[in-house]
Amino acid sequence: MKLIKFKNVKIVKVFVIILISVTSLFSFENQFFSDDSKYDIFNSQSSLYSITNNPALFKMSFNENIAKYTLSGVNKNNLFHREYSPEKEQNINFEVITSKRLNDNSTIASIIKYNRDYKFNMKHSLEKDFYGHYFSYSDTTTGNTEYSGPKLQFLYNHSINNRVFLGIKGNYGVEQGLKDVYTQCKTIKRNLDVSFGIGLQSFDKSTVIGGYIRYLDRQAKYTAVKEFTDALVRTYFGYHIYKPENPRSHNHKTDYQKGINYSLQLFKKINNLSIILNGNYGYTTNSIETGSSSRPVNVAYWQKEGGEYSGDIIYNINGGKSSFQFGYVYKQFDDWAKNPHYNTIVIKNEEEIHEFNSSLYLIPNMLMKFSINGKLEMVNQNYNEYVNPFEYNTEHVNWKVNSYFQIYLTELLSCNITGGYGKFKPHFTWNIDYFNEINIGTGIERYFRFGYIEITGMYKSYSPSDGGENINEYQIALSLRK
Amino acid sequence: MSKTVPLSRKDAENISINKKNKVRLKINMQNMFLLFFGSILIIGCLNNQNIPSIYDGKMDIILQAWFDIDSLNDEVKLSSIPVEIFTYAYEGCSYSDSTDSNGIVTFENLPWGEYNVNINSEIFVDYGTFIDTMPIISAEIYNPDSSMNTIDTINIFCGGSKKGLKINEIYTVGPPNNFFYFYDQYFELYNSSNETKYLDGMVFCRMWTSILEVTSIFQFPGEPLIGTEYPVEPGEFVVLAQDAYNHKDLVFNGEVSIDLTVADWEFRNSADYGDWDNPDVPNIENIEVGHHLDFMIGLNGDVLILGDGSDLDYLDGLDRECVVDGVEFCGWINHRKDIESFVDRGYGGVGLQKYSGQSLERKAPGFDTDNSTIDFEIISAPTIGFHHE
Repeated sequence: MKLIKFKNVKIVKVFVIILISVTSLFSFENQFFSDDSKYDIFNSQSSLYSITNNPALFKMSFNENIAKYTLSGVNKNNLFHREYSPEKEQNINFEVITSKRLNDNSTIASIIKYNRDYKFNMKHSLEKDFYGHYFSYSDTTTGNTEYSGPKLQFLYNHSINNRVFLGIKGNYGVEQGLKDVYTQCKTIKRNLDVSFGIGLQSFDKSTVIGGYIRYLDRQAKYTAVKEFTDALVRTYFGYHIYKPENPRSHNHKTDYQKGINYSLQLFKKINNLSIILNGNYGYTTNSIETGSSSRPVNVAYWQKEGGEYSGDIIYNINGGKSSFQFGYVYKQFDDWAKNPHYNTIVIKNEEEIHEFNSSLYLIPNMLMKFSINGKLEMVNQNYNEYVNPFEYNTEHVNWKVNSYFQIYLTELLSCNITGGYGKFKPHFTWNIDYFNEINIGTGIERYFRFGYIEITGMYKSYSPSDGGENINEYQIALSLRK
Repeated sequence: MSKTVPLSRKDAENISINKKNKVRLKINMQNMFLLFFGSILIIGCLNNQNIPSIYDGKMDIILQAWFDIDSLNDEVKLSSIPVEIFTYAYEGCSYSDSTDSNGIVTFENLPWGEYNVNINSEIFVDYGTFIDTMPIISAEIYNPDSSMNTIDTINIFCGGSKKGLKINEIYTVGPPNNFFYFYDQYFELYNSSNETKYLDGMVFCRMWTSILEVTSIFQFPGEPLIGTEYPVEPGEFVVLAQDAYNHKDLVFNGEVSIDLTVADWEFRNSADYGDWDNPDVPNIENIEVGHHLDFMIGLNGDVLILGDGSDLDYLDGLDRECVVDGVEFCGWINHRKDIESFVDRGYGGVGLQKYSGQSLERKAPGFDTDNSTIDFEIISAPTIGFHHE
């Protein structure tokens, strides 16, 4: 009996779900370590931290000691893909997520991750994501590239008198990649990302005001080797015109990215109703150099500026065990890139997104748990390339619904089912209207004396609106949680 | 009267721990604030820039073509002349148009960059008693500056500005191969003057970064300046081969490379015992003491000088007066220029690739403005003893 009671408390407080839509990740997150929603393993409901990302508010949201070890694999067949995207992708990932309450005032958390990514039959691109960068490096061969490297996140949260909270969060990641055919491009990336946050809580704990400053610094170096005349190196300016690099034994490209963002939050709790207002503003600067290592030439400068402002209402039911959340997010970004030699604008991109999201999290009884969440995005984008004139205007709607159901079959064994459906138009895809996304997954979790072991599997399918072949993705994960 | 209560060991330990915790808390707070202000300092170093006011792809180039006919002492505005421009800044950015009745041609909405301007056409010239056609050729570099819509002038030449013996073609990159074969290098001379020139005693040099630094020097037989044994007639091509044998058949089974048995001259170094010597082709001999190599030069970058042979003291370089023609070439657009500008004001061959079978040739036979950037162009295959179309 004691055991069952103990477990029920655990079921309520700690459970494993990754909700995709309700997290409010700021788009300036660099690609390395953007997924703070990992901490949702501590609580699948929308929380102050998962919405604001303020490290000072971490312990208000997650106050449990936890350790989770996950080994996962993903296989993705891109039967439909953009020209310079890989035809097939595989990913193997080992991750350790921990959080420990040091004392009443301090909490420490970390994520350690080792990732191995394989991109198969990737045409020309020397970048991991050709379409994620306006000045992508490419060559004239098609090959396979392997990326690997560790990523670390550290978070420390300290409170003074239970009213003043301070937090610091740091991400550090290194990744290296190598293409298996000429130009045998070697990629080395380094990422640093530091946030300092402060939070002030009222005496009755019903009001929290917070803010943080985030600084990010990223550097990526590419070294391509020449092999006679078969593999030439190019630097794209946008997606429609490129500059041929000088034929030389080694061609280099370096991306320097720096950025800053400021964020303010307000949390107000009135009985069962919680209101969270969150504002983010920031910019990143990117400087791109190509050429030889001894005499690099600054070929482009790229700047992104914008903000993300959100409001969330969370209504807690049944003493906080269940909840309903509704949120609105307004995002607005301006990108522009220039040719530093002539100080002319070569690319301009404006995006405006209105997003509505909602989630319902229910625990009807001790044996079941159910959640459903959805989001709807109204996207307005205006993208222009000026060197070789190209204009792309789009107004479209993306939406997605995800659901999760878990049931305890015995005292020790539970199973869960997830499913989702959505429609979206990916960035920088000119000749396709939208994709339909279907995902379905299942998992089994069993309690042992040393912790919970879970095996999950998921299948995702993306079908293009023009009737082309589908993109199929298979995921499998094995995790141990204590 | 106060009474001192002796502390138990446990109490003492607790007090000690509390004190330590307070100290730790202070240290933690200090560290946190130091980090916080440190971050503000870092942030202060960041500098975002203002968006420029000029859009790329909106540059206009207006050019006016002039033809200076010395014999008529008049300048003629040329109409209906095709003008081609291109830039190395981006792939595929080449444009062409024709001049109007004022000799003006306008290119609009171009990507910003440095442009090479070329004219290679012919005009009708009225000589009074008869009308004849005359080939015209011109090449200029257009550099955009802050002012837009400027009119630039193209001076058109007839057959090259300066007459004489010219280094007309340079084939150095080697044929397509994966075993580093480049021994089919050759150089072509052309006599663009109206009189016979003589190769007697002339020197052909590979230079370092200055005219004062000779890397290799090979000499034609005969007496410099006065010899008349080896004439080159007006309009004649002369081929100088590194090794005058059939590279195509002997090495590549007829697939790639060239047959250099047709060469007029062959470089030969007696100190290089492995150097091929075709007995049917006369030699240009190495005169540098201690040099044990054939005449081999950089595949996609080097400097060549044809000297009249009056200065054979190569240790202090070449005298300026002895330079007949000089060419600097390099495949890189951002190459830092080497040789002095009185030899060559620019460098040709941007885009030249090793082991591609490409060759570098003047835009017209003997066309020379003393600037190889505009005098030369890359051709897809070598043209031994003739000029490309």
